[in-house]
Amino acid sequence: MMLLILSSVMLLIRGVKYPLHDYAVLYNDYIISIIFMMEYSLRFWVHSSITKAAITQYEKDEFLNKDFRIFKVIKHAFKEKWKYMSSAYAIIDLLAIMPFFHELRILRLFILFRAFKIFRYTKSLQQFAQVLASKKFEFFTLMVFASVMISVSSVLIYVAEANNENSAIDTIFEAFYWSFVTLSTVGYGDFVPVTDLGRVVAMVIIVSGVAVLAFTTSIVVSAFTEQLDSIKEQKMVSDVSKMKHFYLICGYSPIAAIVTKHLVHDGLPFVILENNPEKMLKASKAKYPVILADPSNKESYETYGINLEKQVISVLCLQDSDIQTIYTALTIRSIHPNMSISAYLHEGKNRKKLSLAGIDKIIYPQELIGVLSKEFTGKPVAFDAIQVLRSQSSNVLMDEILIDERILVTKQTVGDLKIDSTKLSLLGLYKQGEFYFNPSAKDELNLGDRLVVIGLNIVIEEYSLNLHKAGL
Amino acid sequence: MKKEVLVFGYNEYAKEIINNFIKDEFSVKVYVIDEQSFANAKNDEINVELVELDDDWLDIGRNFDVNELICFCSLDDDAQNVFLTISLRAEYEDVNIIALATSKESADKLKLAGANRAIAKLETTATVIVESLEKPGIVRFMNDVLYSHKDLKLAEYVISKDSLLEGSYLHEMQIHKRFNILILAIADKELEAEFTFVSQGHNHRIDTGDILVVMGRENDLLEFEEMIK
Repeated sequence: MMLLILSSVMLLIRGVKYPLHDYAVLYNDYIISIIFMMEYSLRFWVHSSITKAAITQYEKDEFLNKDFRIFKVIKHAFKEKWKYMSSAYAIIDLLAIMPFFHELRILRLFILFRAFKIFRYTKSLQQFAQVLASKKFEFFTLMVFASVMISVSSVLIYVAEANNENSAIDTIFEAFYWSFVTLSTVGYGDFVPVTDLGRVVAMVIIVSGVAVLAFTTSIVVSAFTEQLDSIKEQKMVSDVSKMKHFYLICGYSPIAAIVTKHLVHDGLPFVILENNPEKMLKASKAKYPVILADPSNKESYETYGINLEKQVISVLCLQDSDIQTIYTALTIRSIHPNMSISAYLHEGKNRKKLSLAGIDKIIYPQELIGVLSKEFTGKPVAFDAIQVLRSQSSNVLMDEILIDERILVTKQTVGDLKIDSTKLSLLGLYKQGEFYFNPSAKDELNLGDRLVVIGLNIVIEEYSLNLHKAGL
Repeated sequence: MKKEVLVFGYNEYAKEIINNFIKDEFSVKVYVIDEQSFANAKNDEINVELVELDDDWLDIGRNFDVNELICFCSLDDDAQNVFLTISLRAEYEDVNIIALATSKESADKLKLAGANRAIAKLETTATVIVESLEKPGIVRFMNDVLYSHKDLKLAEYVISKDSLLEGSYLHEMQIHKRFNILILAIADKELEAEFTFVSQGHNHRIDTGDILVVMGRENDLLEFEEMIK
């Protein structure tokens, strides 16, 4: 649509001085107009449903034991459609179709209305208009002041100058034009007052012109500063609604800050919900997608258009206290009973409460560190090796490969995977939650099994890709 | 003789560490620097002693075998942990010090202060959280192999001078297949703290002093150990 509009306006500009090619005329006058007309009719059609109105009216009449009053339906439908036709957008749309009747040369100018159609398709322009609209009252006051100034001064200048032979100002329109140009501080100089009275009027109007301009600027600036947060928020909401899948992080605590850093490093999409403005600011300074909303409030998800079922891969509760975590988990459970929720446990004694709240995976750092410490002392080298494998920075990785339908087409047993011929080590196989270490070549593969392998990350990627290719 | 562990501080982290060691029948002694922790530990029937942070720690040398001793610095404050680590290191060169830090930055400081290992609490937890999102299978595998006391074990063997494997090449090695074990990596004595993973594809010559990291069932591992001696 944007391209259509731009091309149409470009043709108009070119058509001013140079004759347009026949095809261009055809394109401009017919093709674009027809597309715009279709758009207009479709919008007209879907704006309100006549059938629905008819059915409601019919049911109402039947209930009241009266005859079906079709006239009422028509009246209602017409009213609804008129509401659409009289809206600003619809009028611009209609005017943009006008050049279709190009026999009327003057209507060619209406092509310019196509430029206004851009408003419909660009969000930022709409936002700009919205911001200015928030200062309606101020603008109105200013306009009243400016119009009074212009009217009074144009009358005064007309009275003072119209009868003077040396003055260029002869008509009331010229007087009005002069006042306007002077008040706006542009002052072309094509009309200049020559009488003393005229010059006094000019001085007054110049001073008020500067004031009007300064006020206008300050109103626009203050409108933007006031609305900046809400504009940012709107942008964030629209960005989030466009994301297909993401991890939902509730709370931007110190641990969340590190987790998000890792997620960014791994290129995984996420959205943070935080209801503390200070913390939210921290996250937004780090350029993370963050929304100022309470994750334990059901409304937050509706207001910000977060679809737990379709968009969220899993939820991470990393709030500052177990109380908040439990409350959030229950809220999420009530919206989506099967959502996978992981949570950070602050106090060991609350573990049971967290699992009762339906949290699938509880991460208790104290326990984690306890186990780690033990491992560090028992088998330090072996443990180091594992840490290297786990760390993001090493190029040798431990990874899992999911056996899916495509792999199963050609590979039925572990032997078919031909792992020996690659530079990968197969540690084992997860079958229905049970781990089989070092499986033999004859072992069967099933859907949903997971291979645990160690290897260079490029080798793992390549191998996994080949497995899938072979299945095609 | 029972292996001995000293834990400094008595907070939730210390408690978990103590639990893990007591489970494996280590002898654990706790040092605390405040009355409250002292009372708590006494309450939990822990072998605890109240000390001053600027102590010279000479008692430790008198009461324990410093070469075999493991010290955990788990005081609440990072600065105190750094001070403790540096005091212990000043007194005993060979003691094994493992210290906990809140952030990675403090962990680096602890290492500078002479800790053999520094665990950054937040960083480690965050890694596990992200890992459990990205690779749930691997996390479960880790739990199964490392943290639970199941049959499957990770083990390390130092290659002795007259070992059967000395002088052989990593890739030519077939012997482990007889024992149904996997060789994961080798830590080279010459390349300090560098691992060569089998799957990296380098053909590494096994020398005396290298450490093999292997995985397998407990019985298989024992047999393997017998063989390579």
